[in-house]
Amino acid sequence: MALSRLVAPFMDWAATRYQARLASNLKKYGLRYDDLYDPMMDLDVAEALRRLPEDVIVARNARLKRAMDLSLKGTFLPEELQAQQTPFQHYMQDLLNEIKSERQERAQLGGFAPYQRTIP
Amino acid sequence: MVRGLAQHLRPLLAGVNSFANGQAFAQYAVPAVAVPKAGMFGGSKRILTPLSEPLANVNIPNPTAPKAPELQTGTLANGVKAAALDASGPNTCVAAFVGGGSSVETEETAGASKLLEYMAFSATHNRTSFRIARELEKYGAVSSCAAGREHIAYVIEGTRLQASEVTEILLDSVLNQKLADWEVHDMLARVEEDLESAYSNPALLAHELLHKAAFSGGLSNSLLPDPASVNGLSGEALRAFMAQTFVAGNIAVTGAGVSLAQLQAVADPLLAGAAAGSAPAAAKSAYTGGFLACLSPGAEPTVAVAFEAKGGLGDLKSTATAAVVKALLGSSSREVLPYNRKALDGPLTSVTPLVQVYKSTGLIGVMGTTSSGSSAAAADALTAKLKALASSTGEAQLAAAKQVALGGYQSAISARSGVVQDMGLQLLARGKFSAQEYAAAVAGLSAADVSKYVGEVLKSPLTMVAVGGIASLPKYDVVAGKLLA
Repeated sequence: MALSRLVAPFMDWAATRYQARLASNLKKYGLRYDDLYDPMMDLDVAEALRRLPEDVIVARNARLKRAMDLSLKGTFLPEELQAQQTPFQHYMQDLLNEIKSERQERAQLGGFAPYQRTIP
Repeated sequence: MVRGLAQHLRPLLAGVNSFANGQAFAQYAVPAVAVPKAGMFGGSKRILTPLSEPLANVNIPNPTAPKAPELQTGTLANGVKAAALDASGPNTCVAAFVGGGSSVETEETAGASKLLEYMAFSATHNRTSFRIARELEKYGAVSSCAAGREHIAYVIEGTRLQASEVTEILLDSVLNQKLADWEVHDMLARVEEDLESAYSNPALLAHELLHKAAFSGGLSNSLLPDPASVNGLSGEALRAFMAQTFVAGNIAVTGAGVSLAQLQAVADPLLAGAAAGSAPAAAKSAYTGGFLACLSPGAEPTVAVAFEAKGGLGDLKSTATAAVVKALLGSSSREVLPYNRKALDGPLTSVTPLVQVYKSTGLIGVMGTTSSGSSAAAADALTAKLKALASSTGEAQLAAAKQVALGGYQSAISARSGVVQDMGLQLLARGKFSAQEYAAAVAGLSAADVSKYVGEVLKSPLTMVAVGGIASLPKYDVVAGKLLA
């Protein structure tokens, strides 16, 4: 515990630099942080995508297709569009936290999970 | 790893020890009345009293007769009406009645009350749907919700030990509903499926058409929304409906098997945060009469004729007379032993009486099914049944009908859930609850009262409704003309 308080200033400095670097990389492809969540990796993400309103999902898919196109062509987004990007505008974080707390509640109170991964 | 294993096993092993000592059974111990007998090896502790005699030094409590149920009425915080029937017994039923129902729906909120019925006891701002279901399961309580044309009733039945907890869950589920858009969307699939099957049932369809034809104003709104348009409902429409109706002056909280003080202790803090306001001033429903038909070629033709039951729930005498008339109309279709059952002669294959009393008006009529092609004759037969009551009824018949009406009411309010719902309805409609007044009204009816009432009823415009193939639809003018003749 004390060790983490010792290195905290270093972690803050590193975190700001990391976030800035991540933001510039996301802006190059026109993606948001929440677009990187993979529904096949985590079933809670799949549930969050099922619950989100349709327009949010359509915008997410459009951004992902644009990023895939840029990656295929080996280019980045034009500079003026990069300036308009908002990589850390979240649409999924609150919902994801809610879903994870629902999962925890189910585990505590004892109940069946409504969605499970099966190995075919 | 071994330490971790021991950590997990310790709580299990603790139980084993007390089991071995007999401590686990200590709670069941009965004080042994022993007559110690001296002996070489410690003596015997055997009880020598024979089984035919009571044991000395054992105190058996005398069972007391259950005390008579006591009705307490009052007001909770923010002017919410409350009534509690403190009956003895281990079970409890609490209900929250919200006035309005489908009669206060507008075009934007059409179908909202039915959808709220499906969304009842889902997530609130304090609890998830799973938690509510799990808590009620742990308490052994059962929740239900029913939407009507003039109210929505949320009911939870549980045990007396958890009456306070269950009341808290009820009020949380009624007042703090989350109605998340995704949850409403998930529920709409189920609602649509149920509506499709409801609309293919000719009796239910005839019921809906009857209200549409007979009334103008709130009561003509259909309780079952159109399956095609129900997908347009969203959380927004529901919230708009709730803002209008879920206000303190429009809610009544009732309980059976719980005292008013206990209700107040739990409900006051919760209701203090509810939106204050009075019942929405809905457009008053008036009876107009009319004719509606629905073509459904495969269905067995169903015809219903009805008239206005003036007075409404506020007028006890007319409500009582309507109940007696229902018993008189239903006497031919009541359950009888198979070899006693007389087949209905004439065009009708089955007859059911229809009596619905609302706040200011009501419907009295009969619904019948018939074989195809003879629904005009069926409509005549149904009106003839009603006309027969306008002439005087026999004393024995009237006495039997009064007993059926009273007995039905008594059996309904003898159950906790029944009395709680009747209390809620009466509180919303009349502002007070009294079962004795209604029973006295039924008992005090005479044959002349009944015939006069039916005569008045028959003077109102006819409502006729038909469901079936096009060949079997009767004509309204013809049937109405025969009535006036």
